[in-house]
Amino acid sequence: MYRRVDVLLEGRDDKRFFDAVIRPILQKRYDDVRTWEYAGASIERRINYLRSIQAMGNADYLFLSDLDTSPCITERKGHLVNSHKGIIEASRTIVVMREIESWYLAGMDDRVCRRLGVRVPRRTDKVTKEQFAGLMPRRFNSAVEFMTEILRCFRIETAKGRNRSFCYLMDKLEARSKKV
Amino acid sequence: MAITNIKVSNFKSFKDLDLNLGRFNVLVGANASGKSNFTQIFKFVRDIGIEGLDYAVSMQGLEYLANVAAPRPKVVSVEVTSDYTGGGLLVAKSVWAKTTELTSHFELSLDGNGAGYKVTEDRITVAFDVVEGPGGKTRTRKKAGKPDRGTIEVSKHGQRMKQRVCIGRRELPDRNVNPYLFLAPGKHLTKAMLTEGPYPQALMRTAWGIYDFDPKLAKKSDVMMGKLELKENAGNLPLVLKSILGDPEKKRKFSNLIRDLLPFVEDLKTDRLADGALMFKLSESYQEDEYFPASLISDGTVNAIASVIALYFENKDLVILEEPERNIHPHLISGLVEMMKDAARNKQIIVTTHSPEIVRHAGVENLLLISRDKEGFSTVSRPAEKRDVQIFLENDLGLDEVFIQELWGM
Repeated sequence: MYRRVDVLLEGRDDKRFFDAVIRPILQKRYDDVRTWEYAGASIERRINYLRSIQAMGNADYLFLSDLDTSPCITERKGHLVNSHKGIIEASRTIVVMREIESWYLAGMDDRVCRRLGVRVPRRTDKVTKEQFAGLMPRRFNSAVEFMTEILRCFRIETAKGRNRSFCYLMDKLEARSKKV
Repeated sequence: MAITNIKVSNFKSFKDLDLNLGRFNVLVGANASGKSNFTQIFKFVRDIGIEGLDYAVSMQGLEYLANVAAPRPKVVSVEVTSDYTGGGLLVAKSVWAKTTELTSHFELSLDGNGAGYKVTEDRITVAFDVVEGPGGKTRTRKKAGKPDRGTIEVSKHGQRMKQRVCIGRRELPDRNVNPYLFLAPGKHLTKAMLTEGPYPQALMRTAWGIYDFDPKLAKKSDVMMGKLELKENAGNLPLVLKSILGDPEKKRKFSNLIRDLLPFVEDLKTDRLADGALMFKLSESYQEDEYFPASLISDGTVNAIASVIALYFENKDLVILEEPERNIHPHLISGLVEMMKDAARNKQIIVTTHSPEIVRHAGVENLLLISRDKEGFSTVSRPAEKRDVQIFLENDLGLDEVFIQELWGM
């Protein structure tokens, strides 16, 4: 049976990461992988989108969000469920610790760090957008280009060891693949 | 040097404009609201700096330079203020300063029959903070605990130059002023305006890139030699691409950025044709070894390539893009806006647009709304400061919806 999965992402940096790292994994398990950038879209529009996916019957979804100011992942998931009038299921929500930039950095192994001249912390769970910008080497005057360069040599196994929320997502995808 | 404020009077459809600018600015407005006239302000000032006043006026058309409703004699004024953070500068005897801001102001008076004009005001002012006063002591303003501020002002009245330095309200006597401050203008007395002289403001204008891409022209083959700066209409795109692709570091950066925006692009290269002209080709990820000539490439792809070059590869302080969304699929717009924000960390960006997708991703804080008032004059306001807009956004009506339905309010 034809199956599709829709992934709701906040913005462009999330989509870039998704396209390079996560999409290939999902493409092995779904016939169709779609993304929707929800930044700037009203809650009502997001709800309508999710309702449509749920009504299709053969479609799955994942909702990706940053931790933002929430103290923990559980609270963030609760906030997302409530603010979307219960239409989002907590089990289909992936919360990034702390912002998507931390996932980018997590996938750089020591060799890549040396080549690009970046000092990445052993754990990236607490890395923010601002800290990411501070780590960017001088030769890159564009965060977009720096991110693209990181993704060219991104290592999933390294990232799993450096970021708890990324590891959780990978484990979840693996578990789901067994069900699909 | 980013422009922090622009003021104009009676310029084209504007009566009085006084606008602060940020690093990233998205100008929206209905058709005929004055968006093009807004970009013409920058073209006018840039042309004065590069080609001279007569050329700049002729490019605008003398009879259309001033607002048609302005009273006679028509007086057009323009004032541009930029941040100007400089190093230590000896302003006067034992007074060291750091420059903070640079303002260029000029006023033209057009004669009654629209046949000529004269410069009636012409002034450049550099603001500074005093970092070290006489005796090596740092001067501080008594109450605020901030450094004393001052100005270096050069103004021109007819053929006479006037120069003065003030700290606070006090004008320093000429004998105390560093004589090297004013060496440059002397030989330029015969020029029409100060801004044509070797002042930083004039130099800055050469670093203003104003683009309105024409993909049909950009796809044509181009001569092998010429300026490596991207033309306003991107008509020399093959030549600019050849220069970028010929430098390994630039090529790596360019490839990363293009693939981020247009994931299907595998490679770009330029080719010399039999007649010696240059054209560019593109290969797609679907058939890596097959290169398609520019004439077969979509207009949106060409616009996107030209936009990436303008944003990242042109050595400009200010980049103005007119309706860059043309021919680009809405799905790719978020990537383009992200690049504009990214590039705005190193240069100032102004974009004019009709695209709800650009508006949605730009963020209300970066929007400028241009509209016509009851008398027909163009005015610019910030939607973020409008109460109606704030209420719509608080109630989760998307910014794109506010834009499409024109719910901005007064």
